[in-house]
Amino acid sequence: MSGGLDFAALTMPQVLKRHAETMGAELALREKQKGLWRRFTWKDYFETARLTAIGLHALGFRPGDRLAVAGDDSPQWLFADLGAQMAGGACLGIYPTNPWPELQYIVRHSRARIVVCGDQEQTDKVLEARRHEGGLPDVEHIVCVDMKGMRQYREPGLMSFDDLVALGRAKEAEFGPAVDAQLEAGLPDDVAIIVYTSGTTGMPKGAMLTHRNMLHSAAQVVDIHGLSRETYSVLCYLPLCHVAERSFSTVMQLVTGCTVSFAESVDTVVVNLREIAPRGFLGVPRIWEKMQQSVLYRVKDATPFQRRVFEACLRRGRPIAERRLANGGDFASVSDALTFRLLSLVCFRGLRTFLGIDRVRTGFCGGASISPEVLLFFWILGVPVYQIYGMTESAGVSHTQRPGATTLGRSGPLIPGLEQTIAPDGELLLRGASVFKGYLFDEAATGRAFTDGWLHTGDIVEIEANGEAHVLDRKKDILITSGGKNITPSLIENALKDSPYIREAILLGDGRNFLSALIQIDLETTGKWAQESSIQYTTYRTLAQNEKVRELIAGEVKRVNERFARVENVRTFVILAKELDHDDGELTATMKVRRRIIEEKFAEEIAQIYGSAA
Amino acid sequence: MTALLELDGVTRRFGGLVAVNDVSLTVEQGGIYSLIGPNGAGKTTLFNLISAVFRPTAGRILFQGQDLTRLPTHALARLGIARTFQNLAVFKHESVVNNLLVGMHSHLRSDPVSAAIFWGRTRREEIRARERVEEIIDFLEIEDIRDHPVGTLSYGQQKRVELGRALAISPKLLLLDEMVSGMNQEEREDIARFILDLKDELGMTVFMVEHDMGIVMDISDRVCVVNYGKKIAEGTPAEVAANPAVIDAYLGAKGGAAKEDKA
Repeated sequence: MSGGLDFAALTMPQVLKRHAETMGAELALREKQKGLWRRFTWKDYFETARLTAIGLHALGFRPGDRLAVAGDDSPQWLFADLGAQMAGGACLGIYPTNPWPELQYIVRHSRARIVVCGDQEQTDKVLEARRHEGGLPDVEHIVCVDMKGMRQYREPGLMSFDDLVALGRAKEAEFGPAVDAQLEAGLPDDVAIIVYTSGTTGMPKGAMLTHRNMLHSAAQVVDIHGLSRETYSVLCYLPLCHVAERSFSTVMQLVTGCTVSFAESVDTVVVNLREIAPRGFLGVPRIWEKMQQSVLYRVKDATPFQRRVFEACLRRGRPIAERRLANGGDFASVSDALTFRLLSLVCFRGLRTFLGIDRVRTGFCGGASISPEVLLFFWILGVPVYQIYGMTESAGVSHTQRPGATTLGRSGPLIPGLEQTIAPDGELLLRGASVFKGYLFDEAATGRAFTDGWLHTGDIVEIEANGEAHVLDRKKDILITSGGKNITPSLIENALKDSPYIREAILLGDGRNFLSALIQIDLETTGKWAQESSIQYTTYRTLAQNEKVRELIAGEVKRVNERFARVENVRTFVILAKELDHDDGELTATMKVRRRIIEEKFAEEIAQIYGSAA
Repeated sequence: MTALLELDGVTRRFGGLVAVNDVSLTVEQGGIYSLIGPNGAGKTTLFNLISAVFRPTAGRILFQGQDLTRLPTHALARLGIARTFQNLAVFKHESVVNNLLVGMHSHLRSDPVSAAIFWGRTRREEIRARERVEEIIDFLEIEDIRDHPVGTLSYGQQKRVELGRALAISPKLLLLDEMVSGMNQEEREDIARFILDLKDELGMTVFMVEHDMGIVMDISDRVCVVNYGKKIAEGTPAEVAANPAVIDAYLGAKGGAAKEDKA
């Protein structure tokens, strides 16, 4: 029910305003607060965003300025986002998990003068950043959504989000006309949001995305999957500062007019998901893996009878799902459809309800490569999960699987409005309406990102006969052994991670004569295994150094090796003695591995594998 | 600042043992007041005297000028005094929500008849009580365990529920008995933050008995030290930490001497 809006000619705030005019009384946002779901209509959404914009204007925010937001997802996040855009500026998000030095880098680099914080924790980080190493010279105002614990703060320029909205209301007569005029004057090619890349290599860069970029990608996905206000709704739970959640909740909400719900807190996402039972669901591989594991984990604790039923259903469901995928997402035969119904009744429906994805009509998976096994599991349960491919610089989505193109392990065909080509070295290049404007204050990086107007994705991709993209790996991650063999690590790493006992695997072997792996064991499942085998342990470290655990992992590695060619075999491995952590810089905020840092940090272990001479 | 709680020459004997000996102290409105001392110094006895578990042998305890010494224990909640216990005192098989609702009980006023038909004041009160429970859940950040039976929770979480139940009556004075003992570092920091928030956000007065010196020195406005039932020092955390009598009581006369030698 997009009301026939022409998304190529509008900005996001203009779309919001149209919705407020045409369906102002309809539900737009829901947030669980103090045990109850609080509702915001489209009119509430627009008016609060507008008052936020007027408040920002009163604080000196002008067209072309940038607003920084650091906090967990909440309706206020969207009010700040759309408010900043309404006032002619752009909004950038900072991961709530970022330690203060990273926050300081981004705020300073973006030259944002106003920072919106979610709570005391985020505010404290901004204050910390202000006091250390050059501080935050540009920041004039700090706006905090939840003021709990800060009554005694006497920081200059600190105010609550409610105060900001109240300021907007007080100054409405004075600045309202200017903001309204700015809203109408907004152009599709204005920068709307800035997404700082998580930075697996080097410092984060701020990708500038326009209204056209964001609306184009989202509108194409909506169109391809036939999503509407009736068939799409989401729980907003991944960080909004990431382009994917922004695209699949904020922007796709504007395109479809659907409802977005916010979880009560980060710890209640699982419960809230069950309550809301949304019709769409976006997950990064880690989320889907966790969901699958939560089922397998529970089954282990079930009665023997329940376990047998589950296993039997899974066994029967598997070929049905495989045929269904090969058939483009539809059941291959009537008997398949009937058998699935039966299995669903006996087992799968309960599991789907337990996970909160019973009503999911379209599930999406993107952000990194995922093991096909995980996706197949959800197809067996009857949840269609489509792989998407895209990057920050292409507004989140450039390829998506769809009914008719659902090959396991592929990422779907290109969306309309984009062009693609494969460079001689195998790298995918993109051009078109979704491709970003450039990096903020970084001409050199922008220059490197483009060749003759084509965006370098940095990914080695093959295009299959049916048009689906087959993403092999990041170009810079491809290993070349001393024997001259090209190895794509993610394929082998994902196969290793299929083991419930292996949480993270990092393949090594660039310039070496054989492959090896650094392995982080999964504390939960390996710990449970250790308990069952009466192996004593106290911490991750003692577990990782246990001889029996090493044998267990060796068995898992051997199983994986059997599936690959000899040159692709993992000859030796080291179990890391500590868990990888964002705070220690080993993972990005999106839980991606920072290879360079890990190779530096674990140089000793690597030397142990290849001998110090290597 | 005005005095919320005053102890005037309070003494308690158990047979020949003098557990609390002529203690006088004043807890100001809106502050965090800590009571510390070595094991067996009489801290918990003093606490039990304030919460009317025992009666003092001599002396007076005044709360907002009203004498508590003759009141029954259950009257304290109505006056606005709530406490937690050194050992957990929660209903293990009930949910977090129900545990908190129980804490609200003393504030409900309805009669059995209207309660039976759930009408009028009862209805309003019950709804208000449930809302208050949600405010506490929000305050203590325990949304994720709302419906869990308390017995299945970790020790630190159970302690939070116990604190939540004490908050249910919106007390003016909150008595905390060794809140953080047995907790890990993270749980301790959380509780310290909540206690500060209670003071700053809700203007509550907190009187705590505590072993954890870190917390006491970090968040207290005033500290009182007892030993062998007698008050030996009182002042700001810095003053108390520098007091030679306190160092003696904690390290023993010998330890104190050794420390001086080192210095």
